[in-house]
Amino acid sequence: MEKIIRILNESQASDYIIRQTKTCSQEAFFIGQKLDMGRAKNVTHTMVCVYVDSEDQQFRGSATIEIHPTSSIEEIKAQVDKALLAASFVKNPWYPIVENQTGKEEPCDIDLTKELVKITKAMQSIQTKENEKVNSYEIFVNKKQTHVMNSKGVDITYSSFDCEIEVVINTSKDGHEIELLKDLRFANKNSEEITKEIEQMFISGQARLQAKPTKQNEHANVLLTGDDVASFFGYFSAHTNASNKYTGVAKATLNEKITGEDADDLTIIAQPFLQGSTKNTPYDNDGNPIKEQVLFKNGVCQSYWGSKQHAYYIGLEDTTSINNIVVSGGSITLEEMKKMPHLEVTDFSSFIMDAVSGNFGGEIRLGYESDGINTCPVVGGSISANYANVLKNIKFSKETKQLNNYVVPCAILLTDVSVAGE
Amino acid sequence: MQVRKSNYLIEIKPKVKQLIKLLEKEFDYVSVLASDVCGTSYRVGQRQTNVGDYGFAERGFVCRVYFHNTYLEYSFNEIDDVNELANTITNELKGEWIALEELKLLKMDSPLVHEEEITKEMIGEIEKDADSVSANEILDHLKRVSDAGAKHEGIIEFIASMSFAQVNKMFLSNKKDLMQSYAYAEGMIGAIGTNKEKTEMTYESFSGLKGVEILDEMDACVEKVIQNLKDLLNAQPIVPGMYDVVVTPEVAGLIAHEAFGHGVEMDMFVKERALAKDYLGQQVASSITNMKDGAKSAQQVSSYLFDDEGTLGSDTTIIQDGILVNGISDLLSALRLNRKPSGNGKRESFERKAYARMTNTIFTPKDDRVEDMIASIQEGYLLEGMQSGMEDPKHWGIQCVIALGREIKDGKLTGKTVAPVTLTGYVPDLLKSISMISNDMQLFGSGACGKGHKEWVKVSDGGPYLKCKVRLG
Repeated sequence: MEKIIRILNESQASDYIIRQTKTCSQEAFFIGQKLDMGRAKNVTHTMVCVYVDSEDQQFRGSATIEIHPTSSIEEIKAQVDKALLAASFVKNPWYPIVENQTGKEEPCDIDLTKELVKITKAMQSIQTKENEKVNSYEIFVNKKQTHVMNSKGVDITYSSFDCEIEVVINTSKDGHEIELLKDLRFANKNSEEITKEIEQMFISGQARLQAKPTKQNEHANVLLTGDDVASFFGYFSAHTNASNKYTGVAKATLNEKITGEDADDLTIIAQPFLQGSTKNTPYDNDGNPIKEQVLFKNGVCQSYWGSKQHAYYIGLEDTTSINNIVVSGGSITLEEMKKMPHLEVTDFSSFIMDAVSGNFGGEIRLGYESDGINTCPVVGGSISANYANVLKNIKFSKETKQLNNYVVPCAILLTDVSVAGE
Repeated sequence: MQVRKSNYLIEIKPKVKQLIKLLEKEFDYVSVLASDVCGTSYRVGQRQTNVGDYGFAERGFVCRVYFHNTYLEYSFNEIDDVNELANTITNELKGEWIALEELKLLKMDSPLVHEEEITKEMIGEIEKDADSVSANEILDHLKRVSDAGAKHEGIIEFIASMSFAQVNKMFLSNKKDLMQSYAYAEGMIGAIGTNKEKTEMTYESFSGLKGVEILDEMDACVEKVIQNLKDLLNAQPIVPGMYDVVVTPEVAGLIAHEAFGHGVEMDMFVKERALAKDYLGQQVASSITNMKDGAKSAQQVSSYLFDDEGTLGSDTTIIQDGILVNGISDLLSALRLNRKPSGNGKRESFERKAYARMTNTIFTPKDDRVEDMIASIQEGYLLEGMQSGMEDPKHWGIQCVIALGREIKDGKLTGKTVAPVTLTGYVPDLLKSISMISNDMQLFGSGACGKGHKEWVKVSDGGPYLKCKVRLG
């Protein structure tokens, strides 16, 4: 890093940021419960952003490059010169970079091999019935050390640790086999928590074996209860993002309500730290500290968030990036929600949320049709809806759950949703 | 002009060979893939301009070894003292293996790879290298495109972006000495607009084994994007149901990719995750349907000499006259299935595992005319543009989100549009319903493909116009 700093200090850059991340990982891949491959990695990535101001200080251009650990001094100089030339042609309105932040965390001392073995043991201990099997899984354990510094006094170092298990399970009945896939990301789940998640997959798998085709219904009550509940709330962070506000795409306006009068209160808070989340970094990519920020309170937009650049453009004096999102529970219990006729969707093939148009939906991998008394698992077909319509009277369950870096209501009730089916 | 070779790979080659020699003392098989992928991305809108490294840029190494009937890999991007590095790789991989061995795990049967001796090199060609023009020239061109789109009424933002990539890879083992350098460009123009009631976004993409000459293709498409945006803003929701449709080459490519391409990735055969394994030799599509995949099947962003496991790329016929005849494989899956590898072992980067992945996936053309295909439909849609897709090889389900449907009634386009459109159904039903295929052929290589929810790689797909019957919602 020293040679990069020296070259940047001697260059014509008006400002610069260097972000270096060292990652060590261990990985194991399994087919069934048999080891397929072991992997490890040790890599360093150094991203450099150079800034060039116009003579009248009205404009600021930037260009970002990666400097490889194997780059020679001559290569680095050539890369920096090329980036500076490109940045000089970029005429964005001037904006400041983060100033005077210092802090140093000790490197993460977690033993990756021990963590890999712990998770492997947990996965190997999964008990299956005759018509159930673990199809395959992949385990990743990663520790990172990030060092951010810039030309305006930022010099911070922090560490992180995270795990990922991508697991596929099968259940079968009368020769018909189905599969479910889950991508678990966490920082500190114990063995019991891991196996509990997988056991829940088998319960869903058994339900799917009984599933009938989803019925067509152009005006359905739909309950979203699966992991995609977190993706649903991504809409609200997108519409309070400073970059989207600057572009003119964000629909949230300060002190205005985004939900309808008949909707449950919507309160969303960005939190820097959440127990078990893989996103608990103290600073963002620019070296700005991550802070708690209320985005919505009772449906009313309280603040925007985003990079220093876009915050400056929309006149925000203070800004933060988002690590974790906490959404408050609503007015009805999950049990009460299920008393009305509804389609509960627990798994989509892929939940699509287009923040620009507000359209969302997806193909149903597993759902439950209910008349309020009797419930039948269903599969196939799709739902499609638009936020502009569903926010008028959206309801959230009182109960909440954590999905990695999100705490969200266990269920979202949407009315008048179009369901394509048979 | 010929693409420039990577001086870095040429210079580092002796050290990599030395590393392989050292590791061969510890392991039964050793190979190293070295990557030096560079490039620049430009993005110009009305409010902001960005310049940065190309998203798939990388420089690093992945070493594969064979140890006690198991393959192990180590990814790294520093290579100073080769002896020290060999020790680190040996200790890290053996340490992890021993820790897992202590759990008394069962292991997959992993035959030792037997390579043929081969030395080969490929150097691609483009018309004009992006490094031969200044950033200013590229940014000016993109700004003209953005300005041309932004002047229209209701436009919130009009973005023009382009990335120029140069891929250099070297694969070395005891028997193999492979080197390739090729370049491609990919980009898009996208409009975000509103009619007060709705806000929509639409885009047109560009890609190919090309240099800066690709910028000229953008100019002609501005008006098309503006018209598509107007059609989207005026679109009505579709009434869910089964429809006769004609799909454009872009949607045909999406169907080829999502509906069938993922389902014939043969690592999924090994895991018993693909229905296709049981249908080899059987009819899965109408008898006029043919489908291919391979680095040599087309000239697009995934056309290479060798894959990320050092297997030469090929041209694989997947469906012939409606019959499923072949899958596509990475090296280890092919070994386990006792088949010849097809050169489809691809990695997201040198840091990730190789999987069986698509390259250029296409339906092949026939001789129908698009006008006749539309005229043959009493009530249905012309489906245009793709937003996303999701594979389901185990159950042959399909989910594709299509940008726009143009209504067809009594054999004619009515001018009415529907959006958004979600195409779902059972893959063989869809493929068996293909009744007409046009004589066009277009490929699309912008964007990337994931496996599950990760492992993004460059692919292209496409084909002719197809007439088929699908469920829309």
